[in-house]
Amino acid sequence: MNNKEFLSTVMRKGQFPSRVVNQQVAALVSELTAALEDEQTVSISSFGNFEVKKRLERVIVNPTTGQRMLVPPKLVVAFKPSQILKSKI
Amino acid sequence: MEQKISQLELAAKMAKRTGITKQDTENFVRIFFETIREGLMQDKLVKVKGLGTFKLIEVSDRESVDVNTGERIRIEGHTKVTFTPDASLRDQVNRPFSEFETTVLADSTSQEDMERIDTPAVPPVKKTEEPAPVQKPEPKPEPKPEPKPEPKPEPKPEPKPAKEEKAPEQKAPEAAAPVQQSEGSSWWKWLLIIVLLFIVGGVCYYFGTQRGTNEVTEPAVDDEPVVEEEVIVAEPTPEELAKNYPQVEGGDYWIVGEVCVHEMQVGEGLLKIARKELGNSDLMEYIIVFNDIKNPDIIPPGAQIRIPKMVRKDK
Repeated sequence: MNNKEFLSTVMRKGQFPSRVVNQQVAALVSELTAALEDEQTVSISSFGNFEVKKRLERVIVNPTTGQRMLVPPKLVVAFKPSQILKSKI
Repeated sequence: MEQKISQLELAAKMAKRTGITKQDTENFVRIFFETIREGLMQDKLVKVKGLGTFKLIEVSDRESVDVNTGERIRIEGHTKVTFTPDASLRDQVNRPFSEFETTVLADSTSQEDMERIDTPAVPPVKKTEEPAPVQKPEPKPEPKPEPKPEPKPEPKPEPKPAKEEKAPEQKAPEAAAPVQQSEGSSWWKWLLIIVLLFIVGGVCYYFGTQRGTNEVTEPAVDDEPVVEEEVIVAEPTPEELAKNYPQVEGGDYWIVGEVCVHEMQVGEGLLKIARKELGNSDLMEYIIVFNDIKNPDIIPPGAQIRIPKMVRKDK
């Protein structure tokens, strides 16, 4: 299901006009991003949590060349499905 | 910082932004995520622009070992939900660390180098001059994977952050600069220094990763003969070295020595060690052969596992 199909399903389900859906999705995404940027956890009941995790820097080795590379530390978004979502799927 | 936002708080913030009533927004958020769930069940994949991709992945049954008792247990197959953030979301969240990039490390970069790099100014010249005399007289046990005297054509993947730069490289600009100025009486002196630096660079390179590391670009052609002299030291080939050790039949690598000894920790397995020390858990077989392990599934904590040094076989 791609973005277009997804939006039209949302529209149909909630009886929203498309303009409202677009506006709401944009607001949701930007608020979610803003919250995650502050390293806040966003929890959606019966769906799951979005949280930010720190990944430490690490050294990896390419086994074919023997090259050692330093991978920098980073912050990644992790999604943890809730038990309800898990059991439904 | 370590704070949790609920669905309702999220909806409230959205409502403020859009000017749509709170109730409608909450309703929308609920439907939004409900639709994602339904889409997942229907197509096993939902893409939402700006947010990311949700996917269902089947995990098949697998056997594992209880790390505490050593008993075999069976993990049932199941379906799991994965989420891959959109590039925009990922970059936005990672912004505090965005200026870092993956860089190639030279073999000569030891732990202490890394620590020192954290202090702002690195005195590069001093640093390379020191290790060189120590390294040179050593009998070199290292295999020779490629003809050495042509470091020039090497690609130079220059890492932007100066942080992990290899020492010889930092030196390169310095070496290059004097060449242009030195038309005067001290011409020979400069040449001598450059040649010396290049030798040091060559040695460091040689001890560096076996190929493809960032390399000094050559400033002057005169230096070439010097390097070749340097190189003539006879090297045992990987095959010769490999005779001293047990080998993996049909493998892509020669075992040519021992890198270090790893002590098994509780909850650690050979797969994990192979991944950590050799970079790939598929290479576990080499550890098993090298240590002559009879039963790779049960290795007591505290066991000393030797990590083999490996060289790729030529075709």
